Amino acid sequence: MNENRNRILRVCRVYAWNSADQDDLFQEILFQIWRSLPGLKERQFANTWLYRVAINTALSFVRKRASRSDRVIHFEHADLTRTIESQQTTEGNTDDRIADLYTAIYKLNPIEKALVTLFLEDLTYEQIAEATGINANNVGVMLHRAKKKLSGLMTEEAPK
Amino acid sequence: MNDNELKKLWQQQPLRAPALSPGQVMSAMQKQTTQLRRTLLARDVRELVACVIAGVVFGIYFFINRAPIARLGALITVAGSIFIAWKILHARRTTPAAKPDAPVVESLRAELHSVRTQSQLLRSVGWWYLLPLTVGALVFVWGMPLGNLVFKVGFTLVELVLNVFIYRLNQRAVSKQLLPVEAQLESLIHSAETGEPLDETHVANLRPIVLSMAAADKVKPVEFKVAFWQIAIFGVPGIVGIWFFLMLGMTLESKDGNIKRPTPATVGQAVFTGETNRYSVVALTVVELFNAGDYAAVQKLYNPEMSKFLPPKESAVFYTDIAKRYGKIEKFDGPTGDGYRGWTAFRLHYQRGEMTMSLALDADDKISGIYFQPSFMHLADFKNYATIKNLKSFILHLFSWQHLLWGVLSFLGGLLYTWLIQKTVKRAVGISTLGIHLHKGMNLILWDEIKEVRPFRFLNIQNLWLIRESGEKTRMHWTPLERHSDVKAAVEKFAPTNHPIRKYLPLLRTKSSKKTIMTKITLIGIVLISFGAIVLVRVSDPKALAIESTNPVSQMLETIRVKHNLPALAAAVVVDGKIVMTNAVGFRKSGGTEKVTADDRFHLGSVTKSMTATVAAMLVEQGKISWTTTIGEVFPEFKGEIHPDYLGVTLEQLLSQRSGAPGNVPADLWSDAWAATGKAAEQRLAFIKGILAREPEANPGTKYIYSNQGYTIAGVMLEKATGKTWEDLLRSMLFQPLFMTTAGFGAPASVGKVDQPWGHKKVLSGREPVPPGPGADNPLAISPAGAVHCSLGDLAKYAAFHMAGERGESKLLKTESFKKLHTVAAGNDDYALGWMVLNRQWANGRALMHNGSNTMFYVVVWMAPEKNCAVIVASNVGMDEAFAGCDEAAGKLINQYFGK
Repeated sequence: MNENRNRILRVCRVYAWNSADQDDLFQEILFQIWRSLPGLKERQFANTWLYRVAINTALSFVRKRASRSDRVIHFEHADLTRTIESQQTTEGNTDDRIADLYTAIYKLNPIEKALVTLFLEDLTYEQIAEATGINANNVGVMLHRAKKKLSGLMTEEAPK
Repeated sequence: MNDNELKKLWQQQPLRAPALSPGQVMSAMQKQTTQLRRTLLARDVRELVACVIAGVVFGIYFFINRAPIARLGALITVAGSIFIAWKILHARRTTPAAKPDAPVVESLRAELHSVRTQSQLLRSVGWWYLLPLTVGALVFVWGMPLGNLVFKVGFTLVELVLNVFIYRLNQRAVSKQLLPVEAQLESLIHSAETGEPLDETHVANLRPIVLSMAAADKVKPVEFKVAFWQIAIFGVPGIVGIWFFLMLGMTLESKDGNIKRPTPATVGQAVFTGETNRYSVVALTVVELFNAGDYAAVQKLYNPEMSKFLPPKESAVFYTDIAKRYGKIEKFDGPTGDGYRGWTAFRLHYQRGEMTMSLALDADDKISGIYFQPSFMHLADFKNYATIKNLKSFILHLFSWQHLLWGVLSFLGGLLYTWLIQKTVKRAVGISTLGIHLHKGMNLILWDEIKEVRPFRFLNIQNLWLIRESGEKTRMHWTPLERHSDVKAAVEKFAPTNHPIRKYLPLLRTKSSKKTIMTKITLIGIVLISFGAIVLVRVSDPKALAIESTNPVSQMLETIRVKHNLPALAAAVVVDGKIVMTNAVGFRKSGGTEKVTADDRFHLGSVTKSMTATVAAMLVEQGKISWTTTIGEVFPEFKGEIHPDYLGVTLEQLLSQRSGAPGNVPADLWSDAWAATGKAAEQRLAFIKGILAREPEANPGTKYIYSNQGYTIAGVMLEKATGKTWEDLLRSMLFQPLFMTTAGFGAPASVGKVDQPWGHKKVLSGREPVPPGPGADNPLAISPAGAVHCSLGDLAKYAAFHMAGERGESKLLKTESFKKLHTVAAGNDDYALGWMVLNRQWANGRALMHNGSNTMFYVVVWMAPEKNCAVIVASNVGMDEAFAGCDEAAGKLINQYFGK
């Protein structure tokens, strides 16, 4: 369960930038997991199931936030807290790179975000296809493109 | 950094523990579950509540409102709000969010579907939301019998402006909020399906259908038709329902609380002959019999016609029910003239509640009409409907052959409507399989899988069964005609040349449809049915038909009216001192639709002179003034300003037109009189000062000169002598004691309304109705010579009063005074005091007559005092145009009623 908890926390960090939002999202995901548990069949209880719930919940969480009237302020606030958060939660050189990675992921579109996250979570292409519903052949192509974009973004960030 | 390094970095990142204890998580979860349910519920409840409120409010209106068209409007509004609630809930129900554990793309599609449905709803907001409510509200407002035109027009304008505003707001929401989201989602899904990179600039143009059609060779267009009977069942219930409610409404309409239909016009209206209050006598008898429970005796008070209308059995059932419900009558007030159809009304105070009883008596004091109207709140109570108590007769009436005939017609109309729907929908049906997988982008119908598509449910053909080869059934929601242009483009681009789907190409429109065709057809149907129903209600409105068709007097008057091209013609007849007939034909306003009624008021013009003279006689009897009182005596303060010749002119000389006062007003004084403002009495005083300052037209007492000015001077003398205005004198001394409840001053109609006849004046181009307001009557300065208006029934009371007075039957004035008023003044050829005395064979000699016209109305009164009979005829055009027609009518009526 602890490993699962960390998985969810990492996804939360992709989609929510300040700690309050992350906690909210974490809680929301737990709730959705709990809600969809009864309908869960034995064989479906794979890693992918957890990620599906987490990412779907995160996406609708982001949409809900975005549709609020304080959208503009929210983003500025997020930008601000993102910097603070990354510094608070990360110490040392490796962790600067983590912050850069999150910053770069932040700039991807939702599908790319999901693909990259699942890739970093060490899922196979088949698993990613299962989790996202994207054709397995396409996963490779799209992921490749997303990674290229990501590394481009990261080198942009690096000098700072 | 390579992939593995990145993954390692990622997976080993330090993570902040969420600031949540397990207990907190649990309680938060519980909170969220309830909150989720609550928001879902609140959302639905909010809309349902709005719908229920509209439904209940207008539903109540439907049952308590008497006006059939307004009721129809209420009905449309109720149906409209139900439709709207259904539409909103339906949109919600058919766009559920994807399950939390669905693949990501799947949940994006669900999201897209929901956004699309929402934007579709908003785009077509005019059809499903604004149209039904607007039609309902407008039919309701315009169907109200009361309320003035300005309000109705104003309401319509406000309503339209509001609609435009709401429409704009919705379109703005679509383009600003929903379309961007839609485009974004579409491009994401597109990219996920094809693996193509996201084209950030052209996202809005991409449609998932294009991708779906990549597998176009696998698509199997499954054609299905909605059977005639299925649409018939879908379409007919609405029509049959409307028919049923219409019939129900009409049934209640014709029976609500009143015992019977109004009396024919030849039977007496509310009348008081002289001062004897025969109505009160009858009312008292009726009330006593009610309290005694002796309904058979009440029955004996009816005239034969009324007995036929209301047989003893039905009568007893009705009265027993009232007694049971309201208890005994403790006291009653009245009479007043504001009863049903202008009958004489009495207010009955029961132990439990109040009721207005309207009575009409015929010439023999028999009841020719009786009408009970409970106070407002009781109207909605079904127990009050006499016929509902008697269920059998109610049902028999409800399913009477007329109603059944309408039912058959409605049913045939329903079938025609169905046929039209099917004709129009075919196009949609042919392509509806495409609609299915358009609708749910991912659900392609594959050649091998789908065996059959079958529309399902009787009342909702928008749901389909997809039946697979294996026999498995899937229910799909069918939204036809979505994104035609996209399908068309996709089919053209991707489908092989011989693919069966190509034959549907001609059915696809290039422009995307904004509304679903079913909604459109349903609503057009509702509008058509509404207007059809309005016609039906209009035609079958029993009140409109009753009088015209049956009454020979109406026919005679109508013939004369048409022959002489009069807007309206009205008449009243007094025989043996009792009013035996009042009638009116034609229109209140030329070119309008408002018909005159027997109770409508006409301007009396110079017939007013007799009223001024009569009041003068009363004041003489009271000693307030004398016949020989002179102008000089009454206005000592103006002595210097008055021409010396006028100083010795007496009241009697003024009233007999021998004062020497000019027949025509000097032009400057007349234009001053038109321009004058302020109180009527002040205007009169200023006017007569102007007249009196100049030399008389003839030496006073030497010559008969018909003069409005003379009567005005007399009127002002009466005001000066009593300290009361001339209007107050007439009201308190004539109108009230004679129960002339419709009497008033100036133009009869209210400003801006056609609630009473309008006068008509001659203009170069012919004739023009004069709207009530300034210019609709002569200047206030000459009121005592001609400003009264009243119904012909009330004028008949006045005539009857004069004839009764001569016979010594009046307590208001002595017989000698009447004699004086009716005797030609010394030196005059035929003018008495406010009456002309003529010799007529039909009158057995002496006839009293006066006519009057303020140039926009005409009234003539003929009395035969020896016979105690009178005829009054009036029209709403000036004397020049009305004289011949009114004279002809008066002659015919005299011949018919008492001439021989």
